[in-house]
Amino acid sequence: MSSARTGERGQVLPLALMAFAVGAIVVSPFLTNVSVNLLASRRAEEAIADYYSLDAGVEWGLWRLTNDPAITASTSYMEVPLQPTPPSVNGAAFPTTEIRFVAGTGDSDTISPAWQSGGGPKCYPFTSSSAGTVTAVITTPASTVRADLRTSCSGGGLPNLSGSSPYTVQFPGQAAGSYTLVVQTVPPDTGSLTITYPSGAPAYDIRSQRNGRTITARATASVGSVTLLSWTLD
Amino acid sequence: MSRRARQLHALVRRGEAGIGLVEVLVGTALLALTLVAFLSALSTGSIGVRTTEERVVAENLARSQLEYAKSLPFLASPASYATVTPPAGYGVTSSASSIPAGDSAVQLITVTVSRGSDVLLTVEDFKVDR
Repeated sequence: MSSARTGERGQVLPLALMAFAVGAIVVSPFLTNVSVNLLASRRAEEAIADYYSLDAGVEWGLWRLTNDPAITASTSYMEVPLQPTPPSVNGAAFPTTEIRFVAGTGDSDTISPAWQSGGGPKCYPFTSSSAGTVTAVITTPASTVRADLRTSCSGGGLPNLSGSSPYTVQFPGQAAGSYTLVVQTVPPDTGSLTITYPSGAPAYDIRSQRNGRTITARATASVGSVTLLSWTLD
Repeated sequence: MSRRARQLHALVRRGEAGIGLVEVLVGTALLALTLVAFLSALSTGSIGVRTTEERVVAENLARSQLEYAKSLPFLASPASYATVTPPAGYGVTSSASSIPAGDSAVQLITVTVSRGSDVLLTVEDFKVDR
């Protein structure tokens, strides 16, 4: 009777203490793990928002370039050419987005073909390796000068150039390819001619920054289209 | 055994009986408390695990959908881009809307991931017609 009572004593308490200890050992790391995972997934969610906000900044810069391939000649990063930017994206302020011109790109070639005398339209072919503006400067004492940029040597319907010699005429937004500058002077007269055309697309760096992270993209621009060359996330 | 010894023995036995009952009650209460705490922790943990799983799925789904929408040909705003196939129980939408400061060549893409009636994640990006 006495030993049975002695046996009863402490059976439940040690069991409860043991369960308590096991619970503390097992449950604490489990809950810690769950907590860490929740925090990590929340941080990943924020990182995704940051990432796509930065990407939105780059896309904004690319869009501005499609409208204006000569958006800036500055080789230092600046925000001004890209403003006004949208006020927000992903529920936060729009990322700081800047652009700079890449030195040594966007070159142009100039040719001075021999003047073709005589009546009728005269053709001066050339090939532009990049999109952009073609500029012709025509120097002649002729009273009427007609000129146009065409893809083949066809002289019909040439428009008169206004002003006086030297006549400067620009053909913006030309794609890369082979062209012919068609010139006619009335009456036929002497003269000289220079043609300037793009030989390399201008390149720009677009930098988008937010919460200590940066995306830098490099793109070449021409009228109506841009080409993404590289893209880096820091 | 003397009379005095018998009295002492009876007193101790009475004391033992009382201590045993208290032990049992305290032990049972502790055990119950431990079990409740343990089950509560398991339940909380289970909810946390499910939430984490939903978030991870939603994040990957949103990322996949945004990249997919950006790879598709440009559609004039307002529009909805085709969506990737979400896992069972999840839903994803991809809508394009105009940006006040922009023009028709740039648009805001909004990807929304949901599970049932709950919106889990919304992510925005821009897309340019280029």
